[in-house]
Amino acid sequence: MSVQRDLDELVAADVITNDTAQRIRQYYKNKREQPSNRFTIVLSILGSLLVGLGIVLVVAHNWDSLGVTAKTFFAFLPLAFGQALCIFTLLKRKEDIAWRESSAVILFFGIAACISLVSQIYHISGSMSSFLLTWALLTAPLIYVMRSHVTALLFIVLISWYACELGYWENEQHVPYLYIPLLLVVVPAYWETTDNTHRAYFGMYNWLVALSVITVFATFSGRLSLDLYEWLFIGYLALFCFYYVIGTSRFFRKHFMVSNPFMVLGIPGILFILFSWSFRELWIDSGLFGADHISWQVPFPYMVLALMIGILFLLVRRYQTRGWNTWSPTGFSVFFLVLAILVFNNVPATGVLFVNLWIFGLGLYYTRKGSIKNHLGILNLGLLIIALLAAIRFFDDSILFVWRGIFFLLAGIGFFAGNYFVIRKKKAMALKQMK
Amino acid sequence: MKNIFFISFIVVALAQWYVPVNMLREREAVLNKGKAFKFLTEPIDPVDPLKGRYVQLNFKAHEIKVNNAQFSWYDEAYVTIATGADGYAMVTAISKHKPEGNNDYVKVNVSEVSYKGTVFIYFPFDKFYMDEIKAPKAEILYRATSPLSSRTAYALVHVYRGEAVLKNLYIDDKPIETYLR
Repeated sequence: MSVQRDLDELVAADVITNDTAQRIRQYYKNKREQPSNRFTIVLSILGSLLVGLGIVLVVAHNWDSLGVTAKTFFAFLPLAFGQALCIFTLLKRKEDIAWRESSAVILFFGIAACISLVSQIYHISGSMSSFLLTWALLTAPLIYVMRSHVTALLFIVLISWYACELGYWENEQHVPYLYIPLLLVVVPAYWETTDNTHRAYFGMYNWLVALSVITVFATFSGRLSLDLYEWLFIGYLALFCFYYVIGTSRFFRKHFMVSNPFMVLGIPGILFILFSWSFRELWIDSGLFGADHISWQVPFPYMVLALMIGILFLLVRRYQTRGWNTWSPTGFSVFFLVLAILVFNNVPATGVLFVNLWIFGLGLYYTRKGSIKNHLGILNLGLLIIALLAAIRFFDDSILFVWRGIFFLLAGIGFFAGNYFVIRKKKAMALKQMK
Repeated sequence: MKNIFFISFIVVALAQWYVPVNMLREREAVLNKGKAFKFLTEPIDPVDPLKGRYVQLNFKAHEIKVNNAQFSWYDEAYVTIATGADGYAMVTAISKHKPEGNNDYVKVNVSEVSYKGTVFIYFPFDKFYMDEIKAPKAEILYRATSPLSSRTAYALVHVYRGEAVLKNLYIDDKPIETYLR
């Protein structure tokens, strides 16, 4: 081995001490062990996930041929097995991540299997949401007692399912208030992953939380969503703007894009809602605050207001420190749409025009930013926004053919010219650096 | 400090046992102390993602006429159960409070209130969990016992002070398993 040979040579030549050589050897030994360790952890987690799900499915078969006593015994078996594994891990393998994660995951599913089988034995109808809530409450402590991030990730999925059952799918829908404190339960575990040593978990937490909040958010509107769809659009636009703001914060920008769903989901989300409002149809029946049946009894309007205040606070603070020349219109989209709906509520054509102009403005902003920064990705995002706008307006027969034609031509030329100039600029800079 | 995780785990583990054991204990108490009623029913067969396949029961005795419509959709209510002249369970009264001096009542949810003052209810024992292979067969079997034929299907339910436990499903007085062997 070359390092070993070099170290011997360096020690012999008195360049480094024996002690240093030993430390270097230890360093390389640990470094070599890490990937295989990680592989073991991943395999153990996958294995325990499969075993856990397998137990739940086997239980769901409902073994009629067994008597009540035998069924009861088998109901508690996965629970006891999971707990025994956890006790063994805590006593003998406390520092082994693979053991901690696997045993906690098996117990996670063991609890579900146990409650399911007891429910089967006594034909307990019970609602799905109460079952999921019981399961979530019984597993929450495992996140910290077993120090298991996989359990925390499964817990996020579980509480999202619970909130959807209660808020969307059950006969009588309720606002799932408990979802918020339950989501806060994982915060300390999540915080632990922000120190760069748990990068894979950090990304998974971000993605699950971002998707979970998007899925569950509308349940807080209660029946409001049926009566006033504008609030739902405004609410989701506020959420996506908030995602965009935190996704572009200094904290998230130092991480890879793949770990930053707030940015990845934020911009398409904002564009999707703005594009929806670039059509006449949504404007015709809108009446944001005018409708009689607006409900302030559900938390949704307050959450939207809180998000908007949050966006404003974060953006103002950011531009104060980074300088107002770094200003970006994207995060302000929600304020623009609220204002547009309030002002042009009775004149849909003008409202539509302003939304189209705003989208066009966003496209121009990214195109300009891309060309200044010599960033082809940002440049093409801007051009893509303009091209999408053009494509959507292609079918809009309220605009004269000639205007649509000119717009298309300009958008197409913009694509070629923008990319050409940025590539040329990059080449020129590279040449300059070489000289 | 070293033992904190272990001690915490023991506390959590006890809670994890307490919940299912308590479910079991409560149901056993109803089976032992409760009175058994036969609820005429129609079974159909859906699936629960976690608990497996079950037979959904649509009970015949799921409505009661009231004088003043004090109930609305999904209200909680207590219905008093009695055995009718035909030998099957019937709902004799509905109230917002627990009936006194009688143990044969079940806590239910209101599913609908008609303008004529009839209150329809959901019983909390409308799922009969079965072997995943047998459950669809059970439904097919029941279809053979259509209202035209003389066969009848009923669920045997133990009722005690608001709680109810579904013990078995019968077709023509024989447990459903006997037909499925």
